[in-house]
Amino acid sequence: MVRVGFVVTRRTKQNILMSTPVVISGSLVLGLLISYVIIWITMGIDIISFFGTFYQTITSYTGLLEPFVFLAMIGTAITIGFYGSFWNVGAEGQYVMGMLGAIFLTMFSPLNSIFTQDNVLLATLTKVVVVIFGGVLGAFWSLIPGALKAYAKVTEVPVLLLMNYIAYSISDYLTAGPWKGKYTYGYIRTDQIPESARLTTIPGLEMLRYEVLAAIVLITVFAYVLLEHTTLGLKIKFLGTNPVALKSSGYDDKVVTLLTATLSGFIAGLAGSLRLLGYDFRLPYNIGDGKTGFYGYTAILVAWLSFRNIRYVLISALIVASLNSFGYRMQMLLKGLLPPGLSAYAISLVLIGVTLVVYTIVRVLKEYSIKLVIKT
Amino acid sequence: MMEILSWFITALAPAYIVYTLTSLGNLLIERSGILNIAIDGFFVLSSAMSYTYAILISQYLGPGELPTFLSIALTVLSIALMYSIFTSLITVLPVSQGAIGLSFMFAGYGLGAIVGNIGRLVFSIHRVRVDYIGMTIESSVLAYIFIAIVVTFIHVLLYRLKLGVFIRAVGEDPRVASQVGVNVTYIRFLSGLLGGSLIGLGGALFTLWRIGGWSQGQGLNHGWFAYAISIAGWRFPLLVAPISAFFSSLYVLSPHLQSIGLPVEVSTIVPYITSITIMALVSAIPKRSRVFTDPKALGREFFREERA
Amino acid sequence: MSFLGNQTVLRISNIVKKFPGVVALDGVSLELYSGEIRSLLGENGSGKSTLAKVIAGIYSPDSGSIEIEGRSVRFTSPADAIRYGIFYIPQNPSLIENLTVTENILLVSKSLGLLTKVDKVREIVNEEVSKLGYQIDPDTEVSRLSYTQKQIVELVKASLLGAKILIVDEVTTYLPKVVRESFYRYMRHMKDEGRTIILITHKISEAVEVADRITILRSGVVAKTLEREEFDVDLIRKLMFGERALPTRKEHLENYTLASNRREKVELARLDNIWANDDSGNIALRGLSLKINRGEVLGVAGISGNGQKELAEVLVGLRSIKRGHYYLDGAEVTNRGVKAIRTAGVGFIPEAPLYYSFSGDLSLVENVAIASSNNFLIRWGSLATKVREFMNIYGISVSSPKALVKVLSGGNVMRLAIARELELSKKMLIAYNATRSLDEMFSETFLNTIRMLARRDNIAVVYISESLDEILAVSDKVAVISSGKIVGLFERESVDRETVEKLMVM
Repeated sequence: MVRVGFVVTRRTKQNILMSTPVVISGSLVLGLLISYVIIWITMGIDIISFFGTFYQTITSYTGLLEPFVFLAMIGTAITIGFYGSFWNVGAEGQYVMGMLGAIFLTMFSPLNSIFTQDNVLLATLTKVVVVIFGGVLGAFWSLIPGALKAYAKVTEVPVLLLMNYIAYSISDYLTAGPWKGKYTYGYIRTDQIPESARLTTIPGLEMLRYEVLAAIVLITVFAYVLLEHTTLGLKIKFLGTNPVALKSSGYDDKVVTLLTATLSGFIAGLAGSLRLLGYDFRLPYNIGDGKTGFYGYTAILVAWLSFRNIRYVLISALIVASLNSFGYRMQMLLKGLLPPGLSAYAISLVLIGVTLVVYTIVRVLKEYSIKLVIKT
Repeated sequence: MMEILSWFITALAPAYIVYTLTSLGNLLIERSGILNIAIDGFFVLSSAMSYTYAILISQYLGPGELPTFLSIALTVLSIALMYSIFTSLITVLPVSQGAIGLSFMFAGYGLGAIVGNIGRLVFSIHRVRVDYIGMTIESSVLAYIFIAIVVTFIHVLLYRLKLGVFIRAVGEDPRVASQVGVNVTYIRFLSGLLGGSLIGLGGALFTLWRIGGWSQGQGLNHGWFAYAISIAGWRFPLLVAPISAFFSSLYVLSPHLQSIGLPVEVSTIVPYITSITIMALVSAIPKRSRVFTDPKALGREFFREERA
Repeated sequence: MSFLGNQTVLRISNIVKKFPGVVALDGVSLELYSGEIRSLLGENGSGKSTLAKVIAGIYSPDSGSIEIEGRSVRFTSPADAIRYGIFYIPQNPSLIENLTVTENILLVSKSLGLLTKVDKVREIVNEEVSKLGYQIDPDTEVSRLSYTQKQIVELVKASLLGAKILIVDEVTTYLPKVVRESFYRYMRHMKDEGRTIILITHKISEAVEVADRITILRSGVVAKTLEREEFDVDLIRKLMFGERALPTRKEHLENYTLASNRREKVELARLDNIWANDDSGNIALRGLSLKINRGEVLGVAGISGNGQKELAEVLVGLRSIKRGHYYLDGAEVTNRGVKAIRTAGVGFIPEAPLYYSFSGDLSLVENVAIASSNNFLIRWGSLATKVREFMNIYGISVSSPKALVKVLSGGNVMRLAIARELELSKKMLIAYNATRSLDEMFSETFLNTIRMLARRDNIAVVYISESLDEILAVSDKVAVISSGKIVGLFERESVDRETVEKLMVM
């Protein structure tokens, strides 16, 4: 009788072929190939259209800028969570909460009057307050599953995902109810925020805003310093890898869990308020229907590709931004070949899911060697 | 009064069977130490798959009970196979269960949309008629009987038979289990196969009975509702059954909250908030008996040569 | 010897097994015969356990071959080895804590199909246990059994399986005499039936007493195999430790006794009627009281699983106290958390530093920083210098302070733990089975350091260990723990080994 078995051993020498950049790019290529096979089987798209579209996507870099900055910001947020084993799949909801916070302060709070005056300095300062308030709401939204994890030992993943939908529903309730706009041409949505509350476009880079650029720089530097040079960052790393060691060094793992959740949610919330002030200007109804661009979900891939290494977040964000745009371009360019109702995001999800699986497996091969043994 | 009651019993049956089977499937998989983060993706996929199978088979055989049955069987088979690959992969490789689970969840969402839309495409061209399962007293009674049988079977399997001991052993401590000669991969493959069948069956019945049709995004989060039920039932079959009845009633009744003046956005989040609340309450209760505690190896990487 | 003897049942050739940072087996070849008790002898880290795990199919060798009765075999899992009749009993019983005795035994009963009813096996279990002369309720959860009872269940498993080759890995070391005897009896009985037993131990006396042949391992190679008539304790010692001269324990003992008598005793910490649960929620400490004095080594002796782990955790603040009071340095610290205790100057050296003290996925310097950095910003430079010092002083062999802790060998991890924690022990040191993964030489050095710490720096040391030899060598006072209570307390002058042993198994 022939039987097979797997022998898994930890590598004693690091394989040069398995350095992080090789692992990332290799998984990307392999992931694309497998995705292609799936898409070919289900929809019969030929290989030239598939990879031709991909080539077009990565060469039109200006189109990538906008998804890139948001994926980088939210990706950083989720990465901080990952360091502490807080699997923040709820960044989408925190992002929406950030949007709600921003529109609330600019439109429905006393601060609204500042934006109708002509005081540029005051308006700028208030914008900072508005952006930060969005972060605070995001932090609050993330703190609920964080507290449930720390004090009731509830797995955070389902809670975070369910919380995303609660955030969507709150947004829809407000948009259709108390915050419903007057000048919307019959659409259900809020009115637009005042001109003076909006962010400033960078001439020549129409898809960027000065404030967003400043934010991405600040967030990147902050995250790097936090994780590489502070005691809090070190505590988060211990929380993520051995909470018992954290406890026996005299720190409260529950408190560190709360801090990790707060920081992660805060940055995701910042991205939401920046988005509203810089790009969307209002809240649409049925926001969960793709109107967020699903950045909060897609950024999970960014965090996963740069797994617990803050240095790789920007490059991962670029890769994921390309994959994401790829899905949208396929839908635009291959319209006749795809089932008509199919959303672009569905294609992106297959690409993302498959690439993630491949990457996760290749990462294992980096550390372990796996042999198939046939026994007779 | 009798009318309301019989309406409720028929309306509850499809929801009850869907959530109970799916959470029992989840329970089997998690009792073997696999963190089933992929559940929602697989649920969405099986929901879409059963629709497209039904369309394609009905196109050839014409509408009737047989194509419906065949598409359910095919969905169960496909999802069971995919789940067993998923659970074996996690066991053979010392890999982060959360990461692989999330990846499968995303891929499941995407594939579900693609597969379902293919069915839609065929439907829009050929106008195929599919025989969905009817909301009758007969089918409801059958459903309750079926649930009772499955719950009993899973309970006996887990706590009275050797296979159950193996499943719980690899869920508690796969390293020790492997040391005494248990083939951990094989056992987790089996629990993926069994659990996956139940989840696939749940997803198929969701489309072919509870909803009676398919649209993109269908089933999203309902896998999580089932997940919440199995956690709330402490992953214990005899406890999952009544808790699922409570949750299912809530899901069936929550749309009707609008008629008492609640905005639609509020009534839709009732199941979400209930799921979170119940998970929190149940997890916080100290468990007195070993049969209720979380499997110790749940979500942990398995590497046999780890130096303890 | 009977005609069954001297037939080769197992031949291993040139086995090499490497772990990150250490070569555990460096070309081991060995032949085992039917009807013999073979002892594998070697100090900690010599590779004897790794070799056993290779034979049992738990580890896959990097190279080399295994032959059973002349047939070349390749194991990819322990199930393969069991199929060939090889059964391994490790030091920590391989039982699943949350399952019952019956369920655990069911796991190894190959002959029964997957759809067998659990109830069917209960009778078989009852019968086998009583055959060995013991009584254990087959429906008890394993987590409620004592260490000794667990090892008896292991023996039942082995006998049910009808093992051809039985590997016993340091099992007998911590068993009470009566049970140890029944283990030996069982082994001799197996031997008479023509089977093979591999007895792994680091105790020379035990090997000499029971084995037919002794194979001595040193640094991953076979130093020599001795026949029964060649057994000689001095020769064996030399083969085990090489030419290194070992200080005998007696000398230390005497030096030390002189010094310790001179000082008056000042209380540093006190446990008052402490009750605490173990991880499964069973009561582990039942009204334990203990006084800990400055400048004194307090040894806590006992058989594994009698509350030592929980006592260590209570002392460092990791385990919550259900009832009772814990005073430290004049203040009550009952359930005040680890920080309150650690900042008072308490160091903790546990038996498993990768579980309690370190994160294997982080670097040496990060693992030192977590315990000593109090500022918001970490000064990596000065910490790296400190880690390099640790590496030099304690002989930790690793490429750089930035290497991950998980690439260190078990012994090196323990050295790092000792280095870090000794520095933190300003007032008290809690050591719990601290020498388990250390080699004999470094253990001696460590024990000396502890004595010095108490004597010179007036630090209180709580030395919890399963090794009575060590406790007797190092302690000023010996407390005996049994079933979560202190059942005896002796001054160094009045301690008597036999009395302590009796109390331990009470």
